[in-house]
Amino acid sequence: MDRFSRKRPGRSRSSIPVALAALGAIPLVLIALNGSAQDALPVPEVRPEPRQIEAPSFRQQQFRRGDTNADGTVDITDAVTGLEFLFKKGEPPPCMEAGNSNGDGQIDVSDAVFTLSYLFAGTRAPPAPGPDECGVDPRESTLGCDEYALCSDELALITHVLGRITFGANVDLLSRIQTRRDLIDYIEEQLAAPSPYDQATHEPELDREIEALDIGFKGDRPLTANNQVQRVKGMLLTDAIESEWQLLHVVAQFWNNHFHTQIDTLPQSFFGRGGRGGGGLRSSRELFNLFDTDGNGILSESEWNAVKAAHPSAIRWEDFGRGRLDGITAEEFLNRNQIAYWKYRARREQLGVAADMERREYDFYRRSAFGKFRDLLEGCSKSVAMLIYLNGFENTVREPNENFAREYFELFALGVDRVYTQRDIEELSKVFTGWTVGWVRRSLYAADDINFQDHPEARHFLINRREPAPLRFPDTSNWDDSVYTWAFVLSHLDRNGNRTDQHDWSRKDLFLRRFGGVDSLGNPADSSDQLTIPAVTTTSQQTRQAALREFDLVTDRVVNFRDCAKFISTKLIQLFVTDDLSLLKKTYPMPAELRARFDSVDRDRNGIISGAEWSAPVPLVLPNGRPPEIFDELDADGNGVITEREYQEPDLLLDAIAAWRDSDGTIRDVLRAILLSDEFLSLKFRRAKVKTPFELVTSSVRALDAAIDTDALLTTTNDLVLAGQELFNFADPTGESELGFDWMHTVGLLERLKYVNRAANPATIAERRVTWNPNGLRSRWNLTTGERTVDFLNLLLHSGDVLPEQRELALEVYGSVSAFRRIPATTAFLLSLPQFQKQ
Amino acid sequence: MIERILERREFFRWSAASLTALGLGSTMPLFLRRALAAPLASGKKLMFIFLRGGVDAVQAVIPYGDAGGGGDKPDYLGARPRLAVPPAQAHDLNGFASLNPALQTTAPGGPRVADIFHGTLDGRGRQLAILHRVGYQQQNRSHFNSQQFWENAVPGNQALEEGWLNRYITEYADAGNPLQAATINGNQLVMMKGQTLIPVLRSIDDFSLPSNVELGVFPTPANRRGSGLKGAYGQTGFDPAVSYNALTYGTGRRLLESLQFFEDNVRSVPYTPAPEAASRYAAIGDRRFAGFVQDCARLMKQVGDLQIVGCNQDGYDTHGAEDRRFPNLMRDLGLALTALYFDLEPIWDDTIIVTMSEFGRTSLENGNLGTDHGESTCMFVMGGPVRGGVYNCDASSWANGDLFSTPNGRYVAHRTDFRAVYHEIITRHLGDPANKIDSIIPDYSALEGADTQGYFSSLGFLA
Repeated sequence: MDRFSRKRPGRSRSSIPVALAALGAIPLVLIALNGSAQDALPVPEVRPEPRQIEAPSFRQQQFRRGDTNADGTVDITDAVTGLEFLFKKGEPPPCMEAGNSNGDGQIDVSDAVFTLSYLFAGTRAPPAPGPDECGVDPRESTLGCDEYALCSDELALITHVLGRITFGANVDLLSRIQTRRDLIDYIEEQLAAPSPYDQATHEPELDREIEALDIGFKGDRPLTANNQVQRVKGMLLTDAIESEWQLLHVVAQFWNNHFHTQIDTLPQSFFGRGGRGGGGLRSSRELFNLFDTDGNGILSESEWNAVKAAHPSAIRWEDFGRGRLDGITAEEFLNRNQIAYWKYRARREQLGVAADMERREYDFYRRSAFGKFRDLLEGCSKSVAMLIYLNGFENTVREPNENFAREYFELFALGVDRVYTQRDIEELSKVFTGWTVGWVRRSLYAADDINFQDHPEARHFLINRREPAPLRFPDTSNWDDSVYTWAFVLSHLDRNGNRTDQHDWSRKDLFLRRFGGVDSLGNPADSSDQLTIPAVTTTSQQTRQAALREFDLVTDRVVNFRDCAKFISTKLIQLFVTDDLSLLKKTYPMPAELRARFDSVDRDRNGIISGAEWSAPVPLVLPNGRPPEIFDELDADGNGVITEREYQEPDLLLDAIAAWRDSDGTIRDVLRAILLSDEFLSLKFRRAKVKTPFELVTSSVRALDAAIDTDALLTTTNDLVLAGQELFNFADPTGESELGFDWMHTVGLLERLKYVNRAANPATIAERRVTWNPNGLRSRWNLTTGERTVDFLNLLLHSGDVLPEQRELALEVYGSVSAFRRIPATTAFLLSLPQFQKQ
Repeated sequence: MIERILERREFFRWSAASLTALGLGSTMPLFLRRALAAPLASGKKLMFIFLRGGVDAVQAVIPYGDAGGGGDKPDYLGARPRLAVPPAQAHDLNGFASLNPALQTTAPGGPRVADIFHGTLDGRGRQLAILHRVGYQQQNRSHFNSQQFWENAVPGNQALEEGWLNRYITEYADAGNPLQAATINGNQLVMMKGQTLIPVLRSIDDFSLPSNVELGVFPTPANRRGSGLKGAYGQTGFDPAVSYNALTYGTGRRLLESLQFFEDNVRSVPYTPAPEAASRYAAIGDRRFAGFVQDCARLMKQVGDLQIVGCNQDGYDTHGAEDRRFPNLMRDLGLALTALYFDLEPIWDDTIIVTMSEFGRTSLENGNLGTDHGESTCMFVMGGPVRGGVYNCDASSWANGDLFSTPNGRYVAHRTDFRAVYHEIITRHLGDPANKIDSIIPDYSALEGADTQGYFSSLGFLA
């Protein structure tokens, strides 16, 4: 240091306080210089007066470099202030680093020269953060910045955004993201996550952890780990807590829930049908020989009935044969259910297979989370878990099942009663006939299309024809789950090229105007929406490619409906911004397509749709007019007319739909439109969402920087169930709600309170849910008093949002327990606050 | 204390199209007024069991008397070649309809619903009403929507997350009653959601906090801080304009006062179910359901002022394997009803138990030994005030071919709107002395007045 430079003595970076901005309705939090100064400054009693707390150093004070006197602009007075400080023993600059105009790590005469030169000679501007914008010193500052009132900390905004795009903020992120610019950079970084994401490549360590959860079968040996349902749930928790690609996982888990499948139903549906024909200790061949009492190689009805008499749980004869009741050959005896049964005999093992199916499905959504929605929809349709869950695997021309087709429209692509009708569901279910599940060599599938393509060779391994002749069952040469897997196949031709065609080749008509379907604004289908798939009557043209092309035709049409973009965009806005889209601003002029639709109903062109206009018949299409329930939805104020403003959609939704269209339904682009919007990057919706129990757990664990061992992880999945969150086991195909009122009820809140106490401050070892280090926290952040502890945790967990009375209560908790319990008990109390239930 | 602190907007679901769904349309302005609590009706009790997934009504209460309508309208046996219950196995109710065999067995400790129906179980008489063909116009076949409508009692309104029972409790709030209603479930049910926060608990035994957590005391004017969790959740300094703030703080307060109530008044009182009930609770296969039902009964018996309580029975969406699944569901339901019949004997005269479900199912079986979403459904109503019998399923009300009586010929058309059943329960059982029916069931009087089909005619299953 030369003699013309001065430093404030005795300060280290770790004790630099910050000034926090107003946090919504919550009072300003201003920071004193240090502990002694804090004592000197009275704590005001009345809100919204500021009170003083010592801030931890994970937040840095922002400033403008060169603004030595901290008046907001860099001008000649700054040079003067610096020189007075150096030579006339003037007051030290309130923010020393701001006075370090040239960024050389000290304040000396060269700073004044640098500033004057910049101002009057047009030379180089002060280095980052520069003279114009608030920011932090990108380097390790030795000077520090105690106070710079004109640059507020945007912690509130940062935690708001992190609360939505991650599974919880933590010290690392809050240290790293200091400014709005940092925040936007972080969003962009997260949006740039690898796509497709391959965990083994992109996060190998995390991949190993997930592998260690031991989900499903590993090779040709019995299932090693029990609790398979908890294990797949634990996989979600592990990913959420640990992945660097937080946003990608938020979205992946959104898709996993959007395209929900219930794991518990899979064994029942897939293995439960039939498959209970014997005691299970002999090979099926032996059993067949035993049952075939006359030894003619055919199991007759009377022979089977004798079996059933001895084994009442055996399937009925007519179910066994499915219309081919003249007798069952040995090969038919080993039908798909039998084989699945023999291979995975116990429910525990069946759940293991189901867990593996769920894991692969989730892996697909994770890989494709930021990709095109069309691909996600196709992946969902061809997912094994989905094929089983919604009965697609048994939807055949002779025995159609419309379950999946209904949800394809209602839950996955368009929303309830949007565009489609019951008639469309029936037509669509024909498109899906013949889609089923086969036992397929894994090597036929690339890792990222395991849910996708019906591999041409897959038909050799249809599950009802898996065992090559001669029968070697239960020879396990083809049993290895690491070599084979259950996968989507089209039931069409068997391995010998014989037809086993389950596909409905008749004509399919979708979205015909006369079906009477209407879009979300009550408009009948356009004639351009109509889709006709002609019948295929020539056997030679009835190919698997032709059957799969039908799906492509429908799906290409569906993802281009405006209501598809609107449905998915709405759900994403609800995920990230607000449950209630009516709170979003509407400032855009009405887009032409909405205008045209509005005008087509508003026949008198007075700018208002009356009840009479709404209910006027649309000839040949809507004889009873448009649906009244859509009128009620649009008529927000319930005054009996729809105004243009009521009809208009929010700006953010319009932006998201526009991004969808510009990008052909690419989710990354839709996300960018939402996450970089002014409305999201503001405090307008801060803490306006209720955390799910899952989010409560992940945000607690991340904030505490805690570790969870496998046992505790599995127990935690049970905690989630008790709090109302089933994850893979949710009972309805809707998936779990994103809306706050579904999560905030007494039983859920009780379990949340139990969890945070067990995590942060367990009463007994048995209750412990995580391992964390309160002592490390105390020494790292110098949490030696109640006030320091409470204020540190207040910033970390609540971004300073705790009410004064709650702060006092927390101090009371701190003071009421023994020394080693102080930090855990105070943390548990602060995690229990209403604020932490929200994000 | 019952408190009504929430804004209506907390209970609207925002669908893609329903961007501004706060209003309910011009025909229903009644939601905009906040009724003053009327005096509580007499000490009548209601327990409900919602059969989730759409109960196969014609498999539960089988209309063998329908001889078919010819052509593509077979009779029950013809419609269900693989699923049909042979008549000899079912239990005749009225010479037209019969009860699913799984609801009745003479084996000790089994379900005895037919015996309850015939009044042969003990001296209480015929106090089980079976209401068939209950539904609503423009039946929605989505689980989500139709459950929503049965629960909010406003068919067509998917957005309203406010239940008819909550509206009843809100209209007839009993200010001094610490537990006027409760839900036994892992989540709150729409039926019980609304302006009054009704506690929901998974089980009575689990309804407590870890031992090292201090409940504390709520703030008072003299002590505005309070202490412990009650102090934290009792604060009023939060911004009520932020979504869910009122709900979160309010839920916390309701939880913490309920925990105290259960500690002081419920768990501390020993409960032993009636012996005939205990064995049946124990025999229910779905153990979660068994716990729910038993806790409902316990609360009704132990909390004198409890008025409404209810739970779910899950699993009725029998698209496949109905031959195996449905009997288990019926057996569990039959065991539950029989257990309740015995367990609630001391309060029987003031109690009714009602089941409901979002829809019935297709009259034809499908290709997977199952049935798909249909239209009208059936309800069981049991209790001291009930006039036993089969309603809407006898030769006078059911024509041949009515198994396929909807315009598309696939389902059983409804004859009675479910809101007419609710109306009867409210006006004849729970009590509506202040004539709040049009608030509790929106627009009921207008609907009834405009009804020319008899959908809203009272069935008269309550005396």
